Amino acid sequence: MMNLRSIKKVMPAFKVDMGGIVLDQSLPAQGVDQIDPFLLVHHLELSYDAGTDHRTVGVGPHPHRGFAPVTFVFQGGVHHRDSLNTSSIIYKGGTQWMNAGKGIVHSERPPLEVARDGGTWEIIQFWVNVPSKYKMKDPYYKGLTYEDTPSICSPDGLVKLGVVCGDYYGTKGKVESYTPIQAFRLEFEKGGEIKIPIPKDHNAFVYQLDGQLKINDNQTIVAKDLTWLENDGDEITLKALENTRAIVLAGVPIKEEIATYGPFVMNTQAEILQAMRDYQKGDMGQLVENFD
Amino acid sequence: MKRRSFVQNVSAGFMGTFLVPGWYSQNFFPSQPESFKIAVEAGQNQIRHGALSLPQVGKSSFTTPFKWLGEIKRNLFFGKGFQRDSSDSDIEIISVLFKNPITDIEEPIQIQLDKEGITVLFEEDHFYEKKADGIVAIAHKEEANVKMYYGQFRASESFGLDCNNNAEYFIYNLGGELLLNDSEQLAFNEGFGFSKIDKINFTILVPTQVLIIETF
Repeated sequence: MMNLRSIKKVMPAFKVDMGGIVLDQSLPAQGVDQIDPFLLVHHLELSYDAGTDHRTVGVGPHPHRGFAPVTFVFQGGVHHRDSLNTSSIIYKGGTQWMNAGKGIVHSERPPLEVARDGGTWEIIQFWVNVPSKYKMKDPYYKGLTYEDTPSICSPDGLVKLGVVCGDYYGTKGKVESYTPIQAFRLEFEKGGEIKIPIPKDHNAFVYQLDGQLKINDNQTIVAKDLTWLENDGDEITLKALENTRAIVLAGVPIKEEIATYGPFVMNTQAEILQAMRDYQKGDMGQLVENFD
Repeated sequence: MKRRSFVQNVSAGFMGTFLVPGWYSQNFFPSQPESFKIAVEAGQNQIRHGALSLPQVGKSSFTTPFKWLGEIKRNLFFGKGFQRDSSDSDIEIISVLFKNPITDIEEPIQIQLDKEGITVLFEEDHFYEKKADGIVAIAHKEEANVKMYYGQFRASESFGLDCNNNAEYFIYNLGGELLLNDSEQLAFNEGFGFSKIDKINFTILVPTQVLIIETF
């Protein structure tokens, strides 16, 4: 018999300025540096006027090393370019899963037509740490469209769940991770209800983009709340009090010391300095953005 | 050792100060030590993620009169990931593009400042020294003919640095305000280069920290 997980902490997102882009951050937060193996949850929603120059918006070239930055696209699209010569546009409902490994330089911008015609750009980006033995592996990128994402419907037909990574009652995600990860994205119509299995050894949380949910028929959580779950059960139920979008993330903790500064996630400060040096030497590659 | 001339394309008879747009001013006093001042771009606060931008080896067009001294960037990384930390997990990293005067190869030196000490990563070598009042030697790379020092001073202190007349010195104000040789005021994030000098006198106006790079 499955036991429901209780709530450990509800963490409302707050505004941060990321180099001129203001977004909602729910992790890290006051007193919570990580929910191992998850290091960061950013929720960004921006609107562009028609005639915006796509070359000047979004986030320009920057490096990463030592973890996997993952982007769920909810509105508009994201044009990802990187030092591996990748140029990939993923639209609403899709995912960009990158493992930075020993180093990669990438940019993330709205696609040309979203900027040119005007529109909204909404993404969640979360960071998944990787064990030290994998931090210097070769980097890779995987783009997954909405159509490519295995999905199921709840028994009441009111909840759609996309399985990006992990396993939902036998429906398996197409992304392989270095450690066990469950990454689900959910769309609820009002009244919809669904059970989410979460292995007991996984740390887990729910992040809501909007709407209202009731967890375990008990507590109501609202837009931009991150609800961190205790490890005292192996499932939760979610019921929508309004139309709602949410993500559920769960993963086996890595339990290693980390040094996470800026765009790098390593295990020691010495490795952070090394990453800075390697980036400046060009060892993480070069990205010259091609806007054609 | 052949004395390198860092003055290029300037008339020997020129006297006084001129500004090169955006970057540095040079003082030419034919019978006095040669010098220049630069303003380093103000430090960026880096939250977790951030949009880190650093000049890459071979791709920076920034120059100074010292052939070995290229672009400097200063970044403050929040240890908590979103705001400054009262328990001091923040680290500040100064990245200096240094051109080895012997090999002509560019090396991005990293200088990390935290609450207790200074760490320098120079090529494959890590150096660490605890902070202390006065001037502390923090790195010496014999094969690159370079030494680095960290200075920490209280207000109203004075200090004299004996120099090698054949060496070149760059004094970078990390915080505070000081006078150099009773005439050159150095504000926060400004740097001053000297050559052909026997001594540099520091007059500290407010509590100040400096980085000193010496090549010879």
